[in-house]
Amino acid sequence: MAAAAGTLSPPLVQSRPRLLDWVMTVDHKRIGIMYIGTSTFFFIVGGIESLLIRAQLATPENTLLSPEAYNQVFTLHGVTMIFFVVMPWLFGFANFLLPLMIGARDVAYPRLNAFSYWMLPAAGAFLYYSLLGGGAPAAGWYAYAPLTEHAFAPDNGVSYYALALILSGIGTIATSINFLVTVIYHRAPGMTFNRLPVFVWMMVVTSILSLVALPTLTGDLVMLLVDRLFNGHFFDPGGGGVPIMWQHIFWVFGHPEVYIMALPAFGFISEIVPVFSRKPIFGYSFIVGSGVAIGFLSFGVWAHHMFTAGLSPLQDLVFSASSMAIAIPTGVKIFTWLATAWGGAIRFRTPMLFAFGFIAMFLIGGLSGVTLAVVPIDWQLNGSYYMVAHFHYVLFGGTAFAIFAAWYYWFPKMSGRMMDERLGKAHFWTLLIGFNLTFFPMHLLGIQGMPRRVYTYPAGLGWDNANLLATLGAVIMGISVLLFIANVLRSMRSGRPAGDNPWDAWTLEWATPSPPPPYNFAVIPTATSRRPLWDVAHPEDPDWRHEHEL
Amino acid sequence: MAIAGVFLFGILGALVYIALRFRSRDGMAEPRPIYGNLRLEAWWTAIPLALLVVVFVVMVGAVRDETSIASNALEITLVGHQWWWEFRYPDNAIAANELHVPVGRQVRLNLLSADVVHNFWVPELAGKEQMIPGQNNVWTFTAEKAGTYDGACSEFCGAQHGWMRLTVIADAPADFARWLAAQKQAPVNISSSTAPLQLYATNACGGCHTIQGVSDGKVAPDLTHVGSRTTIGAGVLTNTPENMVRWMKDPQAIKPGSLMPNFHFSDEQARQMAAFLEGLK
Repeated sequence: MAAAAGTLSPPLVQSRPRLLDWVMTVDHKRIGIMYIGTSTFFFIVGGIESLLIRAQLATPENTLLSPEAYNQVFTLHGVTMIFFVVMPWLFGFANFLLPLMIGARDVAYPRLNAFSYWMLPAAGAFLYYSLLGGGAPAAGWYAYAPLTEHAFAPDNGVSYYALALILSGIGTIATSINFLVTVIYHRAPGMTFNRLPVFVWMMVVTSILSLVALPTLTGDLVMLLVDRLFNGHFFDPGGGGVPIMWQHIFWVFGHPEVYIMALPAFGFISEIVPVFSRKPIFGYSFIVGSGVAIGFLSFGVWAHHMFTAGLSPLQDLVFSASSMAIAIPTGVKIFTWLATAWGGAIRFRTPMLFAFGFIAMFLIGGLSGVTLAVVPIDWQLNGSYYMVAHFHYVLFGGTAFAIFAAWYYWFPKMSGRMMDERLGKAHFWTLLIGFNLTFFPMHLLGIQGMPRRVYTYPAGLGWDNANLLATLGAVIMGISVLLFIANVLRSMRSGRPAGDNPWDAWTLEWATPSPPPPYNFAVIPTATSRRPLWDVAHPEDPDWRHEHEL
Repeated sequence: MAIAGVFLFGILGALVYIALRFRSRDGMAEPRPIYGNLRLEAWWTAIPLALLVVVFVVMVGAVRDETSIASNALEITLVGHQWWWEFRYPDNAIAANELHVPVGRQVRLNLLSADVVHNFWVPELAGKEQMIPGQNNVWTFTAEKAGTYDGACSEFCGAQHGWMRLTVIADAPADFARWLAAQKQAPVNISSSTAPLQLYATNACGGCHTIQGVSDGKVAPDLTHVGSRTTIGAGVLTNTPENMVRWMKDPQAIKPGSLMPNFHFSDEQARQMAAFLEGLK
């Protein structure tokens, strides 16, 4: 915090013990870093779970894990990765970046922000306490009723699952309100909506999605708890309940949720690709507009998760059309990133490698998603390993690669030190190879007829080699993550000092020291255009002259 | 799929080309800024849109074909149970885990569930559809070629989801008719072995299982013709006399969590029961 020694006197919090300083902080940067740290911890936990899954499935009729243990492990893996890794990782970066990018001193409600963060470890404790309290949930992350009803899941696991997600949902809802109010009321002079960094725009859309989706999930979970704890009958057909209602309500949450996990990643890529191509984003209004379009459409596609649930053919077709429609703005984004890089002077530092990796992997996941939007194909491949491949290409090859890109890109801003490039490149290539070895064969397994969520499979169906290959890939990914963690730990201690703007980037977070002082900016900056720091460096051709060009 | 493939390789190719062609070189100046191009944006919005409209129109036809029901369709009711399949044919013929269908005639399935959501999936034959308690989903398929087709539950349904497999056997119409007639008969050798029948009675096997003429339990698979099936426990074992002995000795060791309890039969009792069950053709 040497940078704090400027014209302002250091804030009072400096006098407390360091740990307490972190625990009691309301500084958005520290809260963001705590989100990221907590998510990284859960990423390791969820990663170990995935290695257990792959160890069990390495060979047919393996008996390493009992069926109960396997079912708990894959449920914990899914719930952990979605609610305790991907979402808080993204929200953590947003927490750190959003006020800096719009030239604000903090979020609108710093105490609420701290409250939101502390919901996360509390929710994680609920989820993992289930292991001590009678067994973890074992019904999958989308927990289709009535398997979750007391009659079929008498242990407390599902109740802990519901309570954990309600708690983490409260945090997400509060953070979304915080982000929205911050962007609406705390932008620096000159920072019009037309000049917001694309990442900030994506967080605005994400926050709106969260504000609708998370309360829907909470409602579903409360009904489930009423069924389980107070003998309700919402989803129990024996008492007049309707199991398919769970599916509808869950996916009304669940599909916007997919975009809650994707739009911030699109934002990262839209910040990183221009800087490393040395060109402005191609078609700002299209990349922002396509994000907004995705947000709207994401509320109208939920039943594509339910093409096999016995809806009418007409309903299937309507949701198929909307799901195909959402591919169009998503395609616009991919074309836009390519056009941004086209004709650039690309510097393949680690963030850019991960950004290109993201585009390639997300492309595969997006296209397999379009195939699944075709109803008859979905009737074949829904619930199979093809599905597992598809969403891992979206969420790991897509979002997680984008998170690593963001990590290498903004780590210097957060810590004041650069990450190691050699380790970073080793991390990227091993992850790319391991990821594709693990998940590409799963497309074929799904087409060959392997259902997902089976704790074992018979020999002799031709599934053995692909499964063994997938396990091998998972081991390589495990090694890759160790390289990453080593890089983070080493760079935190002895990385090269970064300076204010190591990448020669253009948005406002780079206009202040690394790490930024508690008050962010000694003087609130003025946004002269979408790329204020470009304008400073290039007074002969400032960006604001081009604002009318898309 | 082909269109998706073209996009995949086209865009990946462009990505690699960009990565190679536009690398920064020493002493390179900042490239010329390009802020966008309305015409390009319009093209790459319009072309995918047009392609998707074509895919959609083709799909509407496919969905109509696949959901039409023939007037002579054979109606079979499938009930999903944790973790096995019950098949009810017309005229009260009941089978389990092995679905026999006639070649060339459409089959209309009523999909039901006795407990949680299951999903009927026979990849090479029938696609898939959920089986939801309290709801009657209808699904059709036609086997064009005689043969044996593997299938499985593809909606997670609890501890033994992994061993909720099924086999579809498509027979020539005459063979199918013979099979169906046989299913309605009581097993031929039912009276010949009294010791296992006493075991069957004293262990209340009949409370869950049906053997025509002996017991009428409805909770567990019908055993009237269990000896003629190819697997035991919805796919977990091949149906051989040795495997049936193992299953009688300790089903929980083979399919943990299954609702079939361990009756702690002695070796002799297990052999007797296995021989009896294998005789139920």
